[in-house]
Amino acid sequence: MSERAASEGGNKKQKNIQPFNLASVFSPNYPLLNPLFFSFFLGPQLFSELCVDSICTYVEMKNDIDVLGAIGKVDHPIFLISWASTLLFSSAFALNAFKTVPNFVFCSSHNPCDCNPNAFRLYQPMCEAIESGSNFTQVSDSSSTNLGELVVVGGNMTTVIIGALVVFVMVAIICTSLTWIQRRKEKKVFGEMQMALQAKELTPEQVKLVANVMSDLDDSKRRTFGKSGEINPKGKKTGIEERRGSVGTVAIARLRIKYEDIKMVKANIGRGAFGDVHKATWNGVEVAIKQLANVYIETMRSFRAEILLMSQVSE
Amino acid sequence: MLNMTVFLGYPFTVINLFRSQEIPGRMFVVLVLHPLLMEYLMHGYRSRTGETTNFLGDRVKVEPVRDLGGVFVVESYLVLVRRIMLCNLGSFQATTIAIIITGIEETLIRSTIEQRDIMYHKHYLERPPSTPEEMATLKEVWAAAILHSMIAETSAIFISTLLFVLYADHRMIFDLGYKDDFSPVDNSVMFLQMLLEVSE
Repeated sequence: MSERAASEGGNKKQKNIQPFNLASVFSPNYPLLNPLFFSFFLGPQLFSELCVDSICTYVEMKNDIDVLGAIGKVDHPIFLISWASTLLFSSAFALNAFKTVPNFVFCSSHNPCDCNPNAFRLYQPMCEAIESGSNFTQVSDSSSTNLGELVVVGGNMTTVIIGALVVFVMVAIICTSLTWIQRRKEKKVFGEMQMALQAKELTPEQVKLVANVMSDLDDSKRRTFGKSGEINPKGKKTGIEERRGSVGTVAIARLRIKYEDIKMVKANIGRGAFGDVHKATWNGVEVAIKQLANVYIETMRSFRAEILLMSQVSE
Repeated sequence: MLNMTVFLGYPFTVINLFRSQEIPGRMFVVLVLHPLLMEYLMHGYRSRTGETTNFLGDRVKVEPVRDLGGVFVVESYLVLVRRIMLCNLGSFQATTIAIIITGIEETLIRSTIEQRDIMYHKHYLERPPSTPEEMATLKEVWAAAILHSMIAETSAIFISTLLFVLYADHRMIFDLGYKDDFSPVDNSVMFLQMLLEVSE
C-alpha cells in the first residue's frame, strides 16, 4: 500500500508519523479524557443515565419484571470480568468493522480513489489532489497522515489498554450502584418485617420460620438450580420450586386452596394493608378473603410471609 | 454459529451498505434496517427459554443472567455499531434527529418487550400459552435482557465517543464519523452529541 501510494502520488509530501503519545490524551486537545472533564461532566452524565435506567426499572417492576433481582444475581467477580471482556471484544470488532482499508466490498480495486466516493469520502480530497497532480498535505492536531502511511501508525496497544480500563471501571460502577440499590431495598423490606414480627411477640420457632421464609423469598444470592430438591405434596417439581426449593415455597404450596371452593358471601367488608377484605365460605367454614390491590414483588413477599405466619399462629 | 455470522457478516453487508449511502440512505439503515435486524435476533435469543443443553449434553435449566451472556456479546456489538453509525451520518442535524428518533424507538421497544415476546411465541413459534411457571422464567429472561441492554447502551455511548477521540489521528483508517475536510475534532459538537445520547 505504501509503495503504491508513493508511486501514484509521486509529488506527495512524506512526513514522519508521531507514535501515539499517552500524554497527549490528557492535553487540552482531548478534553473528553481530561481528569477534570471526567470529574465534572462525565460523572454527572453517568449519574443521569443511571437515573433514567432506574426510572425505567421502576416501571418494569410494576409489571413484575424484576431487573434489580437480575442484578442481585451478579454476585461474583467473574460476571464483571466477563462483561468487561465482552464489551472490549465487541468494541474491537465494531472498530474493525468500520476500518476503511480492507472492506472493499463495493469496490474491486485496492485503490480507494477508484471506489464509491460515498463510502470512501475521507479519501476524496487526497484523490482529487492526486488526480490534479498537486501536492497533498493534511495536517491534523498531532500528526500528518496520507495514504502511504496508513499502515504504519502505532500505539494501538496503549489505546486498547486504556479502553479496557475505562470499560472495566464503567461496568464496575454501574453494577455496584445497581447492586447497592437492590441491597438497600431488601434491607428495608426485611427491617419492616422484623419490626412487624417484634410487635406480634412471636415465639422463637415462629421467628425462625419467618426468617427462613424471608431468606428463601429474598433469595438473590443463590442462583443455582434445584440444590435442595424438596418436592411439593404431589411429588412433582415445578419450575420455581426446583429453583428455590426450600421451606417457604413448599409450605405455601401445601396451604394453597382452589379458587372454585370459595363462595363469596359479602364483598368489601374491610380494607387491609394489602388490599380489600371480603367475607366468604370455604368448605362450609366462614372465612375472610384478602384480595391484593397491587401485585408487586415486595407485596407478594410480605403477603406470603404473612400467610405462613398466620398458619403457624392459628395452629 | 449465529454470533459468528453476525460478527463476520455485518461489516461486509449492513455497514458497507450504510457507508455507501448518502444521508437519507444512512438514516434508513440506522433507524429502520439495523433496529429491525437487531430486534429479530434478540427475539430469537429470548425465545430460547426453559431448558437448554450444556457442553456435556445434559439438559439443564436456563439461568437468564448467566446463560444470556452469548446474547450480550452480540447485543453490545450491534448497539455499539449503531452508536458509531449515528455519529457517522455526515450531518450534525441528521445525527441530532436520528438520536431523538432512536431514543423514542428504544423507549417503545423496551416498554413493549413483554407484549412483543408473547405475540412472537404465539404467532411465529406457535407455542401454546405459557404456564405460570414458564411465565416466571420468561420474566426472568426479560429482566436479564433489559439489564444487559442497559449496560450495553450506556457503555456504547462512552465507548463510541472514546473511540472517536482516541482514533482521531487514524481517521483515514477508521471511518468513525470524522469530517472529510480533515479539520481537527470539534469537541464541542462531540460533547453536545454525547449529552444528547446520554439524555435519551
